[in-house]
Amino acid sequence: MAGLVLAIAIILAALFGPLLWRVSPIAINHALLGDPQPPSLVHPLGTDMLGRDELSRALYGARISLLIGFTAMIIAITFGTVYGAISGAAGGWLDSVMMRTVDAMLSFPSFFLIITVEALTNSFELGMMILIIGLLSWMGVARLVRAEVMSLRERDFIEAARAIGAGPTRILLRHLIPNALAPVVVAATLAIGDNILIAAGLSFLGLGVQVPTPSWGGMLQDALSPAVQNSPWLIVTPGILIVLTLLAFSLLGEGLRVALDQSIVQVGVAGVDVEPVANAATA
Amino acid sequence: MIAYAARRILGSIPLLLVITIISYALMGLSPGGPAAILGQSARGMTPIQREHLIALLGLNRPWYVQYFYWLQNLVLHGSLGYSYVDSRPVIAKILGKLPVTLELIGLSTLLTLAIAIPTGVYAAVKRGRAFDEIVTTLAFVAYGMPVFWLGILLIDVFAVHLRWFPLSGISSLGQSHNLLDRLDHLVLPVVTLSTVSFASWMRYQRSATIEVLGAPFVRTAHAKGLTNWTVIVKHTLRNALLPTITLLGLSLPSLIGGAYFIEYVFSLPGMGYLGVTSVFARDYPTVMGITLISAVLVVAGNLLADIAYAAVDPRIRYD
Amino acid sequence: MKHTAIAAMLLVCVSLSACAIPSVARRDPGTLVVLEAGDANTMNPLFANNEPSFLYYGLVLDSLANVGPNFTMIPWLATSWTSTPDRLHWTVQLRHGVRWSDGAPFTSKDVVWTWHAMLDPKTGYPYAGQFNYIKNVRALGPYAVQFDLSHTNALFVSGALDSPILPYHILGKTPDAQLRTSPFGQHPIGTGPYMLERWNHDAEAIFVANPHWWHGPVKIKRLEFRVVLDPNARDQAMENGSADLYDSMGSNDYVTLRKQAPQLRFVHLPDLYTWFIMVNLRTPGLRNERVRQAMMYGWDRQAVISGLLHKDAIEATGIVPVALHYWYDPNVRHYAYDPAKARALLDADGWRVGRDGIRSKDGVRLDYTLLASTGSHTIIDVCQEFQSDMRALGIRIHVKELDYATFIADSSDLHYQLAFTGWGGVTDPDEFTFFDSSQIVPIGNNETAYSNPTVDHDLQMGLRTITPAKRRPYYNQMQAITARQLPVLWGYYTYFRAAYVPALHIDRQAALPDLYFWYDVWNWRLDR
Repeated sequence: MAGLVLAIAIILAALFGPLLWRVSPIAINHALLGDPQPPSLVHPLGTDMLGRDELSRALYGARISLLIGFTAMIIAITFGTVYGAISGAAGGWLDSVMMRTVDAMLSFPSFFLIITVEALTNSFELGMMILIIGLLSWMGVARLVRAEVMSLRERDFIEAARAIGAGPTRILLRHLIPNALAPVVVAATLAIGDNILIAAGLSFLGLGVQVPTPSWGGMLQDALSPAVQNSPWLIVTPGILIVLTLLAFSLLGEGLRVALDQSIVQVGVAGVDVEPVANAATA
Repeated sequence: MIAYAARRILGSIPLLLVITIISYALMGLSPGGPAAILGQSARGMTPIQREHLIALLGLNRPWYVQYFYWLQNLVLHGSLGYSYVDSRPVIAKILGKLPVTLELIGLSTLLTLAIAIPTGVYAAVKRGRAFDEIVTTLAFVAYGMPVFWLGILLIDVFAVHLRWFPLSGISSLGQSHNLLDRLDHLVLPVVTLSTVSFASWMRYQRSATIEVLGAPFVRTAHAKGLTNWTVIVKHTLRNALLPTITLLGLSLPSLIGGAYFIEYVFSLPGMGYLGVTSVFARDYPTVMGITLISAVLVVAGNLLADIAYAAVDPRIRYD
Repeated sequence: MKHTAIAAMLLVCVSLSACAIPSVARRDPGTLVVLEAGDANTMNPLFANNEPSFLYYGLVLDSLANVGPNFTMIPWLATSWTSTPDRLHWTVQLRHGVRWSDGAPFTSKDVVWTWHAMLDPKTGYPYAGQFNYIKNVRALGPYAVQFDLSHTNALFVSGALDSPILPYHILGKTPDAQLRTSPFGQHPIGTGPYMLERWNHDAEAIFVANPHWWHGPVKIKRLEFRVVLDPNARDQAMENGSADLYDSMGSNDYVTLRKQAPQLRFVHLPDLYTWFIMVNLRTPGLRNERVRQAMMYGWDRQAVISGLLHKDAIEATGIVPVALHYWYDPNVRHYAYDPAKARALLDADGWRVGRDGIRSKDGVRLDYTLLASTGSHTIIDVCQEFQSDMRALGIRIHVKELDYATFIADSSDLHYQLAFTGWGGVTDPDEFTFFDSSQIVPIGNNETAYSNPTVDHDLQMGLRTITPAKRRPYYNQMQAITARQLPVLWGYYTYFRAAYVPALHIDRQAALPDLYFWYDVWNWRLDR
């Protein structure tokens, strides 16, 4: 419940904040160049190295961060679900090959892979970044959905569907995927936060969103410049925003899990809980 | 058991092949090319001179041809080649960096498990009570922290202001062989890495324990009149450790990748640091070496986890 | 249970910190401890590719001529060099009695082999192209060498004779194609003042005095280079005295140490680099000289310098850095910040502001991408400031951060519009490869596609003329024209900074910037 409230608050702030606090996040103040200001009435969260308003950057940054979190999640969930469902439903050698591929993907240090792809494709555009994060984080979902589908396959209602002559595609679309949906929803909620963390990590490496577009990871990265000393507000603000957002979606995911009556252990063994470790350790 | 292990090792070879092929293809298809191998001299060279040098290194061939030579060199000579950046053997470079990373990952895994397992069990026993709620929330908070941010905060508090620990690096100037000094330098990095991985381990242990607590044999034990703690320690913990052990093997790749951030923030010269700088420098042989060694570690980690599984749970048989 | 765990953890922490390792270890007073921000890659000069590599091999290897005070060239392994009147044939006399650090004698064989290896394409020496005017190098007996040039080149002494000489008796048997992976780069043998004793990568490199050095004994017997990646830790090491010298420091560290460690001595000199925004002159709009001039007038470089660079930089006026006093010409066009003038220039040239605030003319919009190499906060900040200044003029700039490899590839192939970069590090005003129209990429380094017959003539005559006083007018004219025509948007010159303990005696009057700071290391003294 707390998670839901917090998540809604963050989403509202991202949507309407910039409409209420109408200060440009990219306007450079020449008078304050190289001289970050601590929080004040004019700049409630202070200013950065270029004299830009930190509150405004935080609000716009929320939009970017949530955009990355949601869209990359949708890509990963869609791809992972389809992949896992096909693999689980097909069984046999196809399943084997598909799952070995997942193993291979998981055996890469995942973050290392993202850096490699991003550095090598040299894409700092937002869309490309989202695509890369999404396409490199679907494996957990694929495993999860496959496990669900495999266990559902033997259940009575599938047998029944088969008995009345439903084709495999129909069984997959009408029965298997909808029934595997609950754990996917939980995984999706958690993935939003994870993607935000990954994006922050990429910014830290200088592979973030193009300047001067504000993003939380980018703000944190700016604050780490050796030139910015004695300006703790620049380090604390984006960090706390990231932590709060992650907390919101974690709690929300936890709440959903209980509400959807998902056995935690089942989810864990199926592989979703492995991903959070990955992200926690990497981002 | 030995036959099983051998089969698993053989079975992992195609996996390793796939991983290395994907890595090589990614690098081969990337733009920018290996210009960065020239470091600062790249600026002063003309494009024609650069082309010449790239051809000398054989980098103008298609990536799959290069991959073939790389594999051939590995299989026939057991060599990972020479780094483009400093012309040293890749294996020497990696071996020089491995200790720091292994120490970091090893110590932090120990610390994490030492705290997360008891906490997880206790939270499971007190399920739904205040302790459980608080620990769960704290775990989520820790989980949501960007690891580099946490590292910077810890440095600021414990190294800059309190001056309890050194700022960064793996040893003090001229103290490179002092074990105590080395440990002193590792405290903050290990605590940072442990904090962010604590959440997953703790929650894993907690859910595993909850499941075991509901199992018939635990109820039987209770019925036999054994005290709560005896039941928990003797039956629950033992069984609930299983999924945790599995996780140990699975989390290795992310730990290796993640060690980079710690190494960067704390200026530790480890493998993650080498890996990321090598990616940026387009030092293909080093990148390939690190990818291969990480993948081998992961496969080994999974294998060990399975074997440990068997050791803990005699019901599991391999055939 | 959790409390116990936390308590245990705290106990470990406290006991560890209580074992109080003294932060300053006791150390040998005769050893100079130097801080470096990064490690060298190799000490083989044929393949060295970063600053610490250049520095390290400079300690171990000698060249025929060395840089002396004021960047003059002084005899070193050579005792003299003379040429025929047409300056095409040079005879270099070598010093007698010089020994390699393993005791082997130094002879003309070493020089001839070194040049053979440098010029052989199979070696892959990155700068071989700079010496394409050297046709032949041959021995005239054991202590004399003759260089035959295809044409006169003013850089022969400062460029060619300044190259380090490698030992034939160690490397001569290695095929040129395998020199790259030869272990020599990790275990060098030289004729220089120091020998490498131990090298622990990314941690330390330790050099000791070379007992065979021809010049006589050095005063500091031992140099320990410590790699400290973290700038704060470097500052701390200088403050608490665990290190003696920190060279090539950034302006943040300089400001911090000046404030927090006033007991230290400092060197602060204009260095040899110019930073600027390179312009692809084939880009519509940007190829227009008046647009570039307007951009210069509209760029508040003073704000950049005082705000982002700690007032620790100088507005640039051309490619020749102010550090080269003799060659630098201050009497060229300056561009003081004047946005009104900038707008007037654009208006007069017919660039009209559109509805989106961007100027255009005949379908060409002033809307460009500025490339910057990722990794430096300062450069990205400078680029964003430029972006904001240009926006005020009606010019839209997208800042695109690229990793170094792609940045080099894109900016050197005319695949860009604007690129923020630096250039320099040499002691001669020659910029033939950068500005001459015959050197447009991929032939040379003319990455802007700049072409001006007068500048071409100046650069060619400058290279063909040996006497400095006669060369100078050519370079003055080149500076004047490029200041007006702006093949690049001139940014700023930076400083070289170093801090050291008072016990170290350096001739500060004669100190030179960048790597040349080390040119008289053999003369440094440590009193404590």
